[in-house]
This record gives sequence, C-alpha cells and structure tokens, in this order.
Amino acid sequence: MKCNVLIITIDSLRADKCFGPKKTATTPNIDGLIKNGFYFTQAISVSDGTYESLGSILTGQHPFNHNISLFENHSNAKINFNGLKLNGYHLYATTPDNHFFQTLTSEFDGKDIVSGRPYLRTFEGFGEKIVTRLSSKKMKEPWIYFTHIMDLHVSKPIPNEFTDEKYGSDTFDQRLSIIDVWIGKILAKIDMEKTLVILSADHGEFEPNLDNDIGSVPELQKTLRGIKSISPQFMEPVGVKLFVSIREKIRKKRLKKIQQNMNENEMRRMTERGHDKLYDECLRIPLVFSGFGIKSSQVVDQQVRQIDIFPTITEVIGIPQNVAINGTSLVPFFQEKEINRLPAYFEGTPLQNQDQPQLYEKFGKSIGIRTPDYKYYRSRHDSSKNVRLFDLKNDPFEKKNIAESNPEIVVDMEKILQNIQRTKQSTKTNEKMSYDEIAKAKKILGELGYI
Amino acid sequence: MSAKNIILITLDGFRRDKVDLCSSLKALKERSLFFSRMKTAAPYTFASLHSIFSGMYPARNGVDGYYKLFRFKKDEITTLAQLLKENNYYTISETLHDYELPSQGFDEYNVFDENTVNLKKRHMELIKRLSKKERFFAFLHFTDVHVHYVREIIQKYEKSENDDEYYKLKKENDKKYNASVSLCDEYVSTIIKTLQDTGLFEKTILIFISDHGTSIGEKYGEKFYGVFVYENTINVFCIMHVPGKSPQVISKQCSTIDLYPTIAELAGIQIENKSKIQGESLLRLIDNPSAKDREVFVETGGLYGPWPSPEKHNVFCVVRNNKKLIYNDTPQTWEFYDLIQDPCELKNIYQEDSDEILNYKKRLYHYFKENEIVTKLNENV
Repeated sequence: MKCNVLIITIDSLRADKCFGPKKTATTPNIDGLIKNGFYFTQAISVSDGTYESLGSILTGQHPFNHNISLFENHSNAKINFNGLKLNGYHLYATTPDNHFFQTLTSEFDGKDIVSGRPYLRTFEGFGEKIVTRLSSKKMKEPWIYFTHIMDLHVSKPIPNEFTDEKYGSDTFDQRLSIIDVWIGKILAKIDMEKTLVILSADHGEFEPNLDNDIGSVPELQKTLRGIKSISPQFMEPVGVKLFVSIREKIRKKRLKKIQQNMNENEMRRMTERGHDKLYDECLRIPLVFSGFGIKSSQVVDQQVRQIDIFPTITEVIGIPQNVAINGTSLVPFFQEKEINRLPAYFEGTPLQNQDQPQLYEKFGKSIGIRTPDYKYYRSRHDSSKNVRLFDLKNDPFEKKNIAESNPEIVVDMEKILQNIQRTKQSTKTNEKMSYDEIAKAKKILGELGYI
Repeated sequence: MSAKNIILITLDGFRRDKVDLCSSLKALKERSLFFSRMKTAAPYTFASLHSIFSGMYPARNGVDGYYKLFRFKKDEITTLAQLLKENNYYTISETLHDYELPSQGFDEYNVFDENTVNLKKRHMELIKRLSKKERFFAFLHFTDVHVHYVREIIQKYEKSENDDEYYKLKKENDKKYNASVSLCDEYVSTIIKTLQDTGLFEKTILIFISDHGTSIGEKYGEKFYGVFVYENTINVFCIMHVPGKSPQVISKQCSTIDLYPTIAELAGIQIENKSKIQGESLLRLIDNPSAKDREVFVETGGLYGPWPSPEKHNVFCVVRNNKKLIYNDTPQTWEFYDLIQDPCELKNIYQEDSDEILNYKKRLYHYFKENEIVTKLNENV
C-alpha cells in the first residue's frame, strides 16, 4: 500500500514556541502529533527566509543547489518533489496567493491558491479551504498534500476569545493556539493509519509585537488613496514609491523611539529577519513526523536539517532516491538506529526592499554552519569579513561572538563550510530535467522493454 | 587503401566470453584485427552508442543517464556519421529507435521493430542495395541476442517476482544465454556471405562490436546490465576486418570511445577540433609491442538495482594496470579489485589509506573534472 503524505509548514514558527519549557500556547493537536511520533528538537532551517527554506524542503538540497531565492527567478528551479509524480503520487496544495507559491506548485495536480491581504489566516477562510480540499473526493490516492500557513506572519488582531492568557502569554503564542485548532480540524479529515504527517516551519522568528505594527500609517494611506482617485493612472507608480518611502521613514523613527528605552533582550526581540542576524530564534524550527511508518515515538535531541525532510519522506513512502540531493534520510531514527551527526548549512535571506531592490544582492549576505557545539557564519563573498562564532553549549543565547579569541575553531568551521560548498552542482548537472522530459524518456524506454 | 566502405555492426549485449562460441564470429576474428580487451564507456546501449558516435564520455556528450535520451549536444558535436558524410560517404543506420544514437549525419536513419523484424533478411537486402553506392558507411544494430535474453530469461523472472532465484541459477542463465549464440552466428554468416556475393568484402572495412556485456546473475542487484561497472557488463570486443591488414590480436586495453578516431583514421579523414574528442586511434596499438594499455573510465546509472539513477550517472570506475577502482556515489562506497588475481571481482581490497588506491582516486577525480561530473564526494564531513 502506498501511503498518503500531509505536509504542513507554519510560517515563522520557531522551535521553542512549539515544544519545551518556553511554550505557552495551547496546542493539544500538535502535542498529540509529537506524542505519537518523532519530534526533533534541534531541526535547523537552511535560512531565515521562506523562499530558501521551502525550496530546501521540496528539493532536499542546499539553497546554493536549488537556487530558489527571493530575487532569483525560481520558475526554472528543479523541484524534486514533483518527481514523486513519476512514482504514482498525486500532488495537491493549498497555499497563499503569490508568484512564489504559484510557480512552486506549477506542476501539482490540484491546488487552491488563496487570495487575501496581506495573507488570509486559518480562521479567515484559509483553514476552511484546506479542510474542504481534504474532504473532497477530488484527491486521487496516493496523494501528497502541502500547505503553508501564514497566520504568524500577519500583524492584525485575532478573535477576542483567543486573547485569554490560557491560549498563550503573548500574541504570537495565541496565534499558534488558533492554528492548532485548525490543525485538529485538518487531522480529523485524514486517516492517520495510512498518512505520513509532517509538521514543520520554513524558519523561526524573533518576537515582534504583532499587536502594534509600527509601520502602520492608515491616515497617510487614506490621503494617498484620495489623491490617487483624482490623479491620472500613470502617476500611480510615483505615488507608490512616495508612500513606501514615507512609511519607511516613519517606521524607523518610531522604532528608534521605542528602542531608546529597551534593554538588550528586548532589543534582540525587535530584530528583524533578513538583517544578517542568524540567531537560533530564526533558524531552529519544529519538526514532527507522525502517522504512517512511524511505529514508535521519541523526542530526538540530535541536530538534524531541513534538507533531511525530503529524503525521509521518500524513504518512508518507499520511493528510491534517484535525484541529486544533499539531505540524509532520518528513517534510521525511527528504527532506533544511529545516524551520523552532520553540520547544518545555512544562509541569510536577502532583505526585501520594495523601494530600491536594485541595491540588494540576489542572495543574503552571510553563509555559515551550525554544529551541536558552535554556530559559525561570515560574509558570503569573503571568509575574513563579518565572522561570527558562537559557543552554543555555554552561550545558547548567542550573546558573545568568540571568533577573534578562537581562530583555530574558526579555521575548522570554515573547512567544514567549504566542504559543504564543494557539493555545489555545476549548472550543467543542476540543469532542470522537466518531468515531461522524463515521462517522454520513460515512454520510449517502456516501448523498448526496458521498464 | 583499397577499402572504400565501412560497416559498423553492434551485437547488442553480446558478451566478450561468448565470441568463440559463435563459429562465424570466431572465424572472422581469426582473420581480422581483434581488440580483445576493449571496454565500453557505459554499459547500456543508449549511452554506449552516443559515446561511440561522439568519441566522448557520456557526461561530455550529454547522454549520461537513461533519461537523458534527448540531451545529446548535437549543436556542439560532430558525430562520426557527420564526419563521414562530410567526406562523401553515403551514410545509413539501422536502429531500434529515433533516439538510440545521434541521427545527425545520416542520409538514411531507419528504425525497425526488434520483436518482429528479420534482421538477417533485412540487412542482406540493405547491403545489396548499398553495393550500388560509390562509398558508404552503414551502422547496423543486431538485437536478436538481446531480445532472446529478455524474452527467455529476464521477463520470466520478472513474472515470478523471484529475484533471488535468478542469482542462484547462474549456470542455467548462462546456458540460456548460450542458446542465443546461434542467432548471432547465422546473422554474421549472412552478412559476410552477402558482402562476398556482392563483391564488397574486399572493399569494405567490416567491424563487429558489442555495445556492452550482459549479466547472467554474477552480481546481486544486476539482472541485466547498466546497474554496475563490473567486468561482465563493461567488457566488450571489437573485430575489425580491414582488407589488406594481417590478422592480429591486440590485447591492450582500450575503450569504445576510441572507435571514432580509429574509423576516421582508417578512412583517411583528419578530425578538426580534435581536442574535444576523448578517444584515441587504436591504430597505434597495431604492430606495436611497446604500446601500453589505455586507461579507461566507465560510468553508469541504473534503471533499477540498489541505487537506481536514470537521471544522472552514479557509478564510476577507472581501470588501469589490471586493477579497478569503483566509486558508487549514492551509497558513497568504494571498491578496488585486482583483475588478474580476482577476475570475477569477488574480493573488495579497498583500503582507505593505500597510496596505490590514492593514485587511482586521483585519476577518477581527473575524469570527474574533465567531464564536469559532480558527485557527493566531500559532502559529509
């Protein structure tokens, strides 16, 4: 029997918000998945950005091999996930509506692209879309269903009933409690006996004050909308630029004012992703495997990587691994076997600047590795610049950069980083082989009796 | 040179160790140049034939995977057929499929159905027709042995779904394989007789090769070929009857990619942009006692087996001084064999810290670099 696969990624869900002593959200459904499956407490994302991270989940490759990034045209990227169709799987998705998700799922058999500004949250209709899709008879088995939930990314008020402390000590956790309600509804629609369920995140997050969007300028928006209605259409781009520029100035001014009275920890919480601050808050993600193929349960503290998700799925569902990937299957854990400890490669995501995107590079500024003992990262283009080394055992909050005082560790970590970089596939090897091309080749091989 | 025409015939999957069982082939061998230690560049038909017609290893010509049928770099490569056509040969091929080998350069590219065709009759008539041409190059694909093996052995095991049984019955498999040799014998006899009857035999360079060997169950995981790079599937041969040349056994190791420059030299054609061709003419091995073995590099990626990899080759080997280093990229494992002491490759004598093996590794890396082959080496630290 071929099992089904359900993959849920929750945008910005950091690991300590999902499991462990710091968790305050009420999440009986996620807890149930963890209790009955394998939970990895030290799963490391490839990036603090969604594009790179989801690219790695769907390819099993490092970002420098899948080349999916915010400013890179990823429509030609080879999504290894799509290859599972060749093994009889049907791919379905429910995702937010933007170009990235559109192209990422372009070869899927069926999908719901859900519009909404900035993104529709589970309780605003997104969850219902997922439940409807899973309830419909349109999904052919065996299926793989992927959804990406944006609730934690949206700084708009939540329903009053969830603002109670029992749902979490802050807005972030309360939002997670809402998501959990919908996860319960989603799980109710599937047969866990024949479905492998994976719950994870694209990346983590610092702890922004979601109740107070410091970039919010409703009066200015209202004024500019009024001007827009009486202006010729060709003036619109000028108006948009003007608005973005003014809003950014206001945001920075407000931020400066807020930060004046903050201590170090509070300042850290205000850090924004995409600014070359690759702390564990934004790299350590939850990772749960539950359901089909998971016959026992365990909380695993060994470091694993986001790129390991894809090969784990293919092994559980019994599909031979015949594409170039960088990840390693985690199935040995499920069989109580040991697995090599591998360093996790990561890189920063480029900062999106709608005003002047030409000023930014296609890829983030820094690259690095995380081992169970150290985190090391430095400038993408110059190994001697912006070098940061943190002792994760003695300084888990990554407060003190020890690079200067530990040059020998820096050398060792750089060697590991360079070895990982050597797995970069040449453009030739990484050239996309479309699944149409593979299907055509398979047809010919079939006609000739090879397969 | 008296010979004007060239006929290149591939005996699909014909094992080198069966040549002497085929009396017509044996007889031809004894009056020809016989390259007894040729190895294929890739042990399956598509990649092997693209290598022969390009004179390049699979990764360089683009067809380095079963699924890479459409990836031949036709705009960058002058094929053997093109070269001969440009030098006033009438070129014709007889193949199984449009994509079996590069079609560029052929005046006629004929496709037959291997399950229904009578190749003896078809090729006899073809040769008669070609006898009226002033100068021709014909590539003929003989598939009967391959078809027999698939029908009589492989498909029966597939139906029974009993893999283990296949590997236990090597002797029986071997007998069944041998039963197909008579098909080859009849075909070779027919070709030679037709050439003699039409007066072409002394005007034609007649070349018989096999594109790859065939497993009869020697190595668990490979029921056929294309999965591994052990001797039983990479050993091939070349019988080259060149009118006017004395018979000779050339026992120096060489590769199928050497056929392109060899045929070009026999036809008296200078290859432009020679640097792209990776094969070397075999004529320097003839009448040359001081000639040395050619080092060979072989690559493959199976459609099945323990590490299927039809999109990209994942099994590689380098063979020199009668020793072979194998690298399996998917599991990242190494094997090293002494082919004199252990011709069946039963005892893996790979040692991580061996200086000798380090030299073989350097050669393997050389081929990776030269052909832009990317593997998982060095990933896990």
